[in-house]
Amino acid sequence: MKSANNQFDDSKLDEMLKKYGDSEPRPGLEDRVLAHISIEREGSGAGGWNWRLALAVLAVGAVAAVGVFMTPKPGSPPVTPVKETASSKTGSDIPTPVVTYRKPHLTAKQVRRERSPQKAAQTEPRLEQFPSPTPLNEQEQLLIRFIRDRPKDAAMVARLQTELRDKEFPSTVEQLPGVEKPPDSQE
Amino acid sequence: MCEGLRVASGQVTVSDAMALARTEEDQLELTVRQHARLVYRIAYSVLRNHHDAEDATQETFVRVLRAQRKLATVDDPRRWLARIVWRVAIERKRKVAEIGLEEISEVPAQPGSETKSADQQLIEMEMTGLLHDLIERLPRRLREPLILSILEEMSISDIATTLETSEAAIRSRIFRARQILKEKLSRLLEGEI
Repeated sequence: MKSANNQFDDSKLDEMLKKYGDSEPRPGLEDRVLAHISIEREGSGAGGWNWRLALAVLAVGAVAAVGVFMTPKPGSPPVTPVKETASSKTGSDIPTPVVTYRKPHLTAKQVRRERSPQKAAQTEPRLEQFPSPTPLNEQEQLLIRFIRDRPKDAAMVARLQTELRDKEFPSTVEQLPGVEKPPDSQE
Repeated sequence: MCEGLRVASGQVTVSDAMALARTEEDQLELTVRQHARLVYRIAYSVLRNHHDAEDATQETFVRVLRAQRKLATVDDPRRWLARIVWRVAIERKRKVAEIGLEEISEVPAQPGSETKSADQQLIEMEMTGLLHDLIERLPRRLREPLILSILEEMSISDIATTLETSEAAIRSRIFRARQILKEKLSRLLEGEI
C-alpha cells in the first residue's frame, strides 16, 4: 500500500515538477539577444576609440604642461648649486655654499633682442671726445703752419682781431642799465 | 598555429582578418540560435521571473561576446553556456536578496490552458505556488540539482558539470530532494483531505 502511494507520489511529483519548470521565453528571444550583442559590439568599438582619443589628448596635454613648467623665465636665471669644494673649507669652519649662475637658455626672441643695434651701441666702448675728431681741412692746416712759423705775427694779428671785435660788438654786460663795469676794465 | 605563423610573418591581409571576424560573428550567432532557449530556461529556473530571466540571458551572451575567442576552443558550448548562465542567475538572485526587494515569482502561462476550467486552473496555480515554496525551503545543495533536473535538456552529466560536482553526488542529492518534497506534499494533501 505504501509503495503504491510512493509510486503515485512519484508520478504526481514528476507532473508537478514538469509544470513548475515549464517556461518558454517570449517569441523572438534570439533576435533580441543578437540585437543586444550587436549594440554591445558597436558600443565597445566606439568606446575603445574614445579611450584611445582621450589618452592621446591627455598625453599631448601632459607634454605641453611639462614644457611650460620647465622653460626658465627671462628675469630669473636658474640657480645651480655646486657642491662645496675643499678650498672653500679652508677659510673657516663654517661651510660656505658656492652658488654659480649659469646663463639661461635663450629663446629666439631673446636672441633677437640681444642682437638689436641699440644693444650693440651700448656694449661698444665709450669715446673720449664727442663728436669724434675729423681730419683738418686745407685752410686749417695753413693757419697752423703760420702760427708755428711766425708766432709773433700770429699773436699781433690775434690781438688786433680782438680789439676790433670789441669795438664793433661791445659787451652786453656794459650796456645793461645799473650794472657797473668790472674794476680791471676801468683801469 | 598556422594563423599565428602568418601573423608573425606579416602575411595576414585585411580580407583575411575580416573573414576571421566574420567567422566569429557567425559562430556567435549560431550559438545564440541554438542555445538561447536553454539559457533562458536555466535562468528562469533560478529567478522565476520572465524579465529577470531574459536579462540574465542577455548578460550571458554579452559575456560570451567578451570571451568570443574562447568559444572556438570550447568542446561543448552547451555546457559552457549552462555554467555561465547559472552563475549569472545566481549572482542576480543574490543581488536582489541583498537589496531587499521581494522576490517576484510568476506563474507561467500554460499552453492550452484555455481548455481547462477555471477551478482546475486555480488548483494548478495553487499547487505550483506550494511546490515553489517547498523547493525554496530546501537546502541549497539539494535545491540546485533538483532545479536543474527539472529541465529536460539537462542530463545528470550536464548538471554535474554546471555545479562542478560528481554525477553520483548529483544523483544522491536529487533523490533526497525528491524524497523530502514527496513527504511534505503527502503530509499537506492528507491534511487537506
